[in-house]
Amino acid sequence: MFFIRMGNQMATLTLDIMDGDEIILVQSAVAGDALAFGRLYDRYQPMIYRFIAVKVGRREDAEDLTHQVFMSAWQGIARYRDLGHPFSSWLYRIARNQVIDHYRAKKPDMSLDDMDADTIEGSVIFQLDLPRKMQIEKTLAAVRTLSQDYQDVVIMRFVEDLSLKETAQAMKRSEGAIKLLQHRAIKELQKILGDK
Amino acid sequence: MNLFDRIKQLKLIEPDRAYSERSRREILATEPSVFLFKRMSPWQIFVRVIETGVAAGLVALFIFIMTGGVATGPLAPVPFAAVSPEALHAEAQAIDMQIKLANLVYDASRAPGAISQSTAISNFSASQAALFAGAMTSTPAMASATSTATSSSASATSSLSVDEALQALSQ
Repeated sequence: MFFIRMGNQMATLTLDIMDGDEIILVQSAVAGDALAFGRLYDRYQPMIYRFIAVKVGRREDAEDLTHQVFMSAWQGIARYRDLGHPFSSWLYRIARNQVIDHYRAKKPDMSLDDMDADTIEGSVIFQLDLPRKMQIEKTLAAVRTLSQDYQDVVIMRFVEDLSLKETAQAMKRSEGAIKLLQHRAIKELQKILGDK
Repeated sequence: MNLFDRIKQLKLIEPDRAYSERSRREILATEPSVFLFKRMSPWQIFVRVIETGVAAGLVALFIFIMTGGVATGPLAPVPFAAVSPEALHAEAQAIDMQIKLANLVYDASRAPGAISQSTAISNFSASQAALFAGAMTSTPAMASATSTATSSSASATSSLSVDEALQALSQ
């Protein structure tokens, strides 16, 4: 299942993990069809961008890393093997590695109180009024204080609404492990944000 | 607003449309290298291999020239006397001779009475110098080295007050 933005309304489309259309697209892309890869890009780029943006915070970084993810995916598409997992789980894995590399290169340490005008300026959220931006920025900052695994599970399960199975495949964990991670991540987030 | 509503708000994060278009165009403009080789004909692959081989050969030749392979080796188009092993050997001997002469001057000025002791050395040096000078004058490249040696011995002569040492040298 994933969402498509239409004006201010959110329309929800339900898609199979690997529907027939996607299988054909992936097969064509693996054979070197750039148009097919372009359609996969259109389908998954917003999800991957959001996944990265929540984790890194800055728009420029999120754009660079998303570009790198799809560039790596296209350059390595011949190595893709269909093991019955959704194509998105392969992209998520590349994205996770890119983010890890990004944090190895530089690790920003920002607390919830450190947010100022400059932070909001380079933020991944735009086209929104400032109070709303501030609120989302606080949530983002709180999510970013979690460990990488907790962040991943929160984004995949609660932002992208991936199923337990899809999340497990993307994170290379069992469904039971994902349930446990999810429970701990939410508890941690509640503690940080002071929610009940 | 509860926690899940706050998390759901993160769905509002979207990539910039202009960025997405530009990124998509750039990615699709590249071609994975694996497909490049798949699409090449055997002739194109052959040309690519030759190109790479020629490039590697030119680099090797450049390194050979830079390390002096053409100047001294059997392939040298013009033999350089200045870098021939014989000339270098002769030059090294001339330096040795100058050091010996300088030592002689030093010993004489320090202890005039010790000149008789160093006569054997000076005799040896003089005989060597004569032989060496004869050998050197035949090599044009060594003319300068020999003249340097001569001038230094001349200066040594002018500064020496001990006639015996000069005589031994001249003999």
